Amino acid sequence: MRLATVSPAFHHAAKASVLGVLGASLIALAKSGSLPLYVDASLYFPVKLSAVMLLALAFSQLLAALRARRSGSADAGCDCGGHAPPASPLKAFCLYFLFLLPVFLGLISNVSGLSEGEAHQHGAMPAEGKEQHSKILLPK
Amino acid sequence: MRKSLLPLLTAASALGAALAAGLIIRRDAAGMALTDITRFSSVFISILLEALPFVLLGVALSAFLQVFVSDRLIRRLMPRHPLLAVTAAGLLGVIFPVCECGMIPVVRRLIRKGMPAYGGIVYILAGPVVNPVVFAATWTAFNDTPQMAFARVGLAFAVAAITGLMLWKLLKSNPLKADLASLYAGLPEASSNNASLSGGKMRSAVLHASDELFDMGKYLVIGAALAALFQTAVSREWLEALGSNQLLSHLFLMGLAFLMSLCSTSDAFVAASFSGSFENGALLAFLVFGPMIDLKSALLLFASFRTRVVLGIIGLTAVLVLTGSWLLEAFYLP
Repeated sequence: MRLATVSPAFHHAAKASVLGVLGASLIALAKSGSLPLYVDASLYFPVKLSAVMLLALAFSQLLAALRARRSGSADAGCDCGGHAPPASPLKAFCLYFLFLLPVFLGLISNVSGLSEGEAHQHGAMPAEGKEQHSKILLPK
Repeated sequence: MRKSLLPLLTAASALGAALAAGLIIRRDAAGMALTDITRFSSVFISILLEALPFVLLGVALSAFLQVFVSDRLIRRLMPRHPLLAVTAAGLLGVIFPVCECGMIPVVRRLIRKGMPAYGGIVYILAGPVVNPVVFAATWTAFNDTPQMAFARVGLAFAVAAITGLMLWKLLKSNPLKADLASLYAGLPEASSNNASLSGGKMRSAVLHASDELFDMGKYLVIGAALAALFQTAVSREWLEALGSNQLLSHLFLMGLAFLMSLCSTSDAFVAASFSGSFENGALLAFLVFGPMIDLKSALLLFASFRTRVVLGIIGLTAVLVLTGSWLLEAFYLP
């Protein structure tokens, strides 16, 4: 029995949605002032730039989705021959959900609720200067 | 052979990872509390956010290379003398920094078109580490110990060069698998034509970048989740006991790097988060061995090269990284 396959336009649209959600979440994180909870000050600008890049990539995928829908193209990936997207709906769902996992976890967890000590211990708060990474410690 | 080996390797790795997780996760019957989930989330998101700019830079450069630089140009620039070829291949990543995920298809295509096999393998091994993006990421992650960035790049180059020279001496036949008809699907000439036909190289590069982001991003998300789980659930005493044994800590982190399959542009941040529990030498072994040989690149290597050649490369790389990281820990690293 042949399983249903996912159309190229769906893949492009799903990629556009995931990239858009990730980009928008980063912008929301930066605007809410929560970025310092996660990254060192030296990475604020690169992370904000990443949000812009993600949104640009989302836009390009959206255009590709519209093109694929209009032309009925059978190719959902780029033309390098090495990026074939998953054909089965379940695999496609798992792939795209995986990228949304950090957003869901960010929504359900309350990082700001961690005490300063706990947050410092687990890298959720910037320590002095750039020492944050070495402050990510394991629980006793 | 390929069909029987890959599922076996994947199943063995999954079983090993599950067994390791079962052994190291120390949780009582009450399960994870909400604060544990919060801690897990904060570490998980933190690792991802720190890696993201470097990953995006990597995919942008990879897309540029894929669309605007032909294999022919790289082949023409490749010296014919073995020593020079190994040196050039080891440093190719400085000019063309591509992650290991995108590197193997490019290299097997280059070998098929006449590039010396040992040169291609040196590029596969050194390229993910000996490049400016990875150097910058390591420098940022280990800003208190900049020696780590130099040691990482130096050791990776040395290991790749020695492996390449040994392959030059030992390889008598083509190391590629015979069935590589699929190679022709992604020839750059064809890509260029398709790109120009379908509306320009720039659009092709942007699409390639986002596809590559999805291709390698999944390994990054899984790796970050494993690292966060590791940091949230594993007891520090257990790790400190492991870290006190020099050989065991090196081997453990090399195995972990293999299983986690992190992108080389982001693994420095994961390694830095272990710095409280392990010596710099063991972290260096993690940083050098992981990008060279990990679960996902091993699968790609087995799919492209003959099994005996891949096993030889993995064994040789492991021994050289172990020895090199131990020597650097003794004589160079703080």
